Amino acid sequence: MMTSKNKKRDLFMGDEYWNESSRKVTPFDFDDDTDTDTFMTMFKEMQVHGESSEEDNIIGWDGKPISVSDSIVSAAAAARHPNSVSATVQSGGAVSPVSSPLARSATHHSAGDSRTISDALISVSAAPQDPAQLAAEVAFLRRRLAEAREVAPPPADTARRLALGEPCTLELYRPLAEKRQLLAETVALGDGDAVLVVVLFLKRTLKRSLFVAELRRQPVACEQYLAYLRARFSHADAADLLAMLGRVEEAAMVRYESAVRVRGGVEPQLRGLRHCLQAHLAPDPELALHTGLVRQQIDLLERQRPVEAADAPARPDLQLVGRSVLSTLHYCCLHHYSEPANHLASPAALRERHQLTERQYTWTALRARASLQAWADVQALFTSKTWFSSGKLRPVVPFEAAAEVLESFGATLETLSLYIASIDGTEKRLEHAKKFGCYKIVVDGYLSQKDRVSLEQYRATLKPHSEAHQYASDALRATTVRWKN
Amino acid sequence: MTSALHLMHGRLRTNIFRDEARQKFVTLLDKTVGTKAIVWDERLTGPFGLVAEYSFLREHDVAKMFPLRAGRLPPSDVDTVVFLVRPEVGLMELVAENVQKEEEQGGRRKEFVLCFMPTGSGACERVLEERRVRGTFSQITCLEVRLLPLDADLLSMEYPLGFKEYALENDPSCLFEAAQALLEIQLKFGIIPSICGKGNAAKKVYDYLLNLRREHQDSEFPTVCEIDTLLLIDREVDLITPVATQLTYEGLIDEVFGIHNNTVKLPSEKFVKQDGGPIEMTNDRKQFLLSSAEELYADIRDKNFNAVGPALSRKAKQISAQYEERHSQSVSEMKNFVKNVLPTIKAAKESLGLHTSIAELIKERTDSESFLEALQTEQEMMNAIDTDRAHPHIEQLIAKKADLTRVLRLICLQSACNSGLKPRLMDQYRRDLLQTYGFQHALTLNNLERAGLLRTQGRTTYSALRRQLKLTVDDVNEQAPTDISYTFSGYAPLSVRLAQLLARPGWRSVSEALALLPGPTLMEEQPAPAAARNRRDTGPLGLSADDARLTLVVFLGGATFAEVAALRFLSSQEDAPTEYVIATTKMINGNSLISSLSEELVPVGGA
Repeated sequence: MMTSKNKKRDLFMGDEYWNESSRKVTPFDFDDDTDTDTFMTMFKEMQVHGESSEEDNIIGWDGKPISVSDSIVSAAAAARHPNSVSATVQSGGAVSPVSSPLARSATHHSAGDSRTISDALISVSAAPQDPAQLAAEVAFLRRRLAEAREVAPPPADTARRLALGEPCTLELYRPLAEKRQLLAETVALGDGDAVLVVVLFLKRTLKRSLFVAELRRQPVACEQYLAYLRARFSHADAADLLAMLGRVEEAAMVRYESAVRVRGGVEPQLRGLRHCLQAHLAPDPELALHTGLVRQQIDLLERQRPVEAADAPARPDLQLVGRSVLSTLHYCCLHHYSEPANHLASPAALRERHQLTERQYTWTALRARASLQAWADVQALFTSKTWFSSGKLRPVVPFEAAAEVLESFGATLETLSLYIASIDGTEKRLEHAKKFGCYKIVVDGYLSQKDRVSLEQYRATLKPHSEAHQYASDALRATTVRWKN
Repeated sequence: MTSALHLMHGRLRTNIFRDEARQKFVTLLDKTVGTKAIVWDERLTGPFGLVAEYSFLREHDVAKMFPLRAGRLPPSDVDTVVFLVRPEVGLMELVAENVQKEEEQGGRRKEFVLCFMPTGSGACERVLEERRVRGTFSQITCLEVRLLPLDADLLSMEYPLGFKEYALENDPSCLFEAAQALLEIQLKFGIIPSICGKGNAAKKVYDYLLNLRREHQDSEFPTVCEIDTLLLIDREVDLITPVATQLTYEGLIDEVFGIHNNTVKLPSEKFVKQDGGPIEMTNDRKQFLLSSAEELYADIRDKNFNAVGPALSRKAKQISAQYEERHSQSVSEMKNFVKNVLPTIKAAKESLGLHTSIAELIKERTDSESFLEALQTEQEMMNAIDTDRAHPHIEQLIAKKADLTRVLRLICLQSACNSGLKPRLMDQYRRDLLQTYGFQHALTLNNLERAGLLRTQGRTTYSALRRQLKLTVDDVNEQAPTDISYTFSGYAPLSVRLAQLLARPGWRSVSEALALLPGPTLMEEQPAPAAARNRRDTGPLGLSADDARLTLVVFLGGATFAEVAALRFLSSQEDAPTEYVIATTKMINGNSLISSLSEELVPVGGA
């Protein structure tokens, strides 16, 4: 998209320019006026860096970019393959030669070769040639000239080229201020990949402390780099960086992530978690919540391991390590329900350690014991253990939900009735009684309401001659009831 | 997809995007020599299915196709291996490994081509360099395909993790790509004079777009502006809609079975008798293509599911009436009937059969107690009933260890409808979830918090928003809807409400509500090139001067089918102030949104 447009503009401006060979600056750049400035800034920088010593060299070189372009053959060659995306955006080899020949070419120039591209071009065009070939030649030379311009593009320009996937050279930006500006311009453009390329360039060329300071100034770049580190599983680096930036909680989460991502079994993971806890979480009171959770996780793993080892002979395909607290509790309720509290697999101990709520505990135990059809255990879960217990069941878990679980494990009507009958509120009780087929509760309910009509309606839904039907009929025949309807 | 005819009937010729993508793909393939194997980033196969079919690839010498996996490539006897991937650093390790193993193995020398879609990535290339395989590739190129038409009025970038990238990782790449896509749209359909938007992402896209436009001369844009208004909506502005259960037909198909790039896979036992639906059987699932190319589907997809049954039975009657007509016909009429009418009737019948089966499958789900309970919970939350406490239904779902994504969706909805959860409640949920599902999910919860889906109570905004934007509507008509709230049986998607209010009476009327929503509000005019004329000023051929205005709504971070349905509903209103076309970074629903933010971790014992 960009390249085609540039070509167009080049052709458009061509004649006007080539007749004006005295112009100091190549005119077909993108934002014409900034150009001189940049060249000058660059030269000043070079002075600062001691790469060029004499002012007149610089001036002599100015406006004669041909020799520079020679040194950028690699970049130009890359540019000829517009599809090799950002061929020069990489580090090292392909790009670094660009800067060093620069100094060389500057001195070389004062020695006398004053031919510029435009000079060369005039001599070429003097010869009568096929216009098409000529045009191609012109285009080629112009491109090289354009490449030459790249020696010191303003950061905004480079940022834009990066974002558009065009080749460009980052190594030319030496002073910190320029690097900073380059990063800022790239961030403003919004291409995350370009930002990352610049960040990685900064990382390569800056002291660590300076690098972090730059990231601190550019939150977007910082996040980008952190995401990059995570994508490459460099969790430790990411955490270090976060810690340096003072983002303690996030650093802790990253460290935690790297601990749980550890492969190779329980032992290395436990080691990772313990380290994470001791070194990073526990010392910081602000992370109390996470500290508590990681402690629980460690304790759980330490509990699961011996239990699994002890039970493995009896249950070869047992897989306990790595399960959640409640899933572990479920296992313990299945196989170690009556272990004393000092036993590792004791449900009570597990409940105590992880401070499970009554609801959590009851739900899990309910399902486990129901699946073994240990109805008495289930009933015990709902029975209050205090001295003043009335013997009524307590709705630790909603009775209808409990009934659903029990029914799914094949509880008898009698067992179910116990829970349905405990539901508070006649309406709701009758509704669920009907759903689970506890006809006695339904019939007795209507009886106590003296609701003959509803009872008759209910009887109509029952199978004739069934026990339930009989029971309803008996009730309707009862002479002692004074029906309200 | 063999035909793209239906793409040409919309207000914008979205088929242009399809043709262009196809052309670019061909150019890429024909640039390489000999027979080819394509190694796919698996998330790209679906989107490419929209523009090219396998037979088409075969014609261009594609002999083998593999998914990108760790390890070695399956053996193949091709000249060139083309890796087609998203520019993500994480994938480069896989690519590098593939190439290294292939080289070690020796044998016939293959050429390797790496192709990024839609743009290249310097960071990715650096990874390849570090792994010392960069030089192995004879070409590193890119396939600049940004927009794929899902329908005549719906374009998707199919950008996989856009919301996660910008909301969680602060990576604006997705937004930059969106800006590029919008530039492409303007290069095809003219400068859009008015740009509005809400949210941080909207502002960024707007800024990027202005930057990008400067790269182009006015003369490069068409002189006629076909789109009047661009509305940019940041997903962050409306995190209620995507986590709520969609209740339109298409929305429910997506919720229950998942629609990916217009195709849905359904349990095949339901579809043994007919073979009207296209393409292959995959094990016990059968694949169907859903688009407006199918007349009946176009008719019912945006209806509330409760209105689908009646619509289907109406259609059935209509078909049999048509079929009956043959009795009262002369011989010549009969001939015409057999030749012309009968095939359409047959197709209509097949289509009816298909959708009756799908509707039955969905009804099974929507009639289930768990669905109804969850729905009731959602409605209570949207009406701000008891959102301050642990919701008994959520507690019960956790106790039953229901699907974690489902539970998280409800908690996120509660968080949104309560303007954040009280810290104590948040901790209670957190403990409960971690103890039930495993401690490793702490990371997922952390992500949801950072992305703003879960938050602790801050400024209370929801009740004011609900009132000012009329987000909940009591008497909703599902059969003959009068308001967009039909899409959620009583809740009007906030995002679409914003679009509706923008068109009439304008955002100034709801400036208070807009101030309550996160991020800046944009209302900008974009100077059109001097040569450009408004479509209505001139009335070019085929467009009458009183043609309705056209608004392009762009969902940054993903759109749901219910939102699309709501916008189509607005378009179809008789006195509609504007029609809509829709673009999105990706089609999403609550499940895909939550799982995009989830960290998949294998518990230690399972490893």
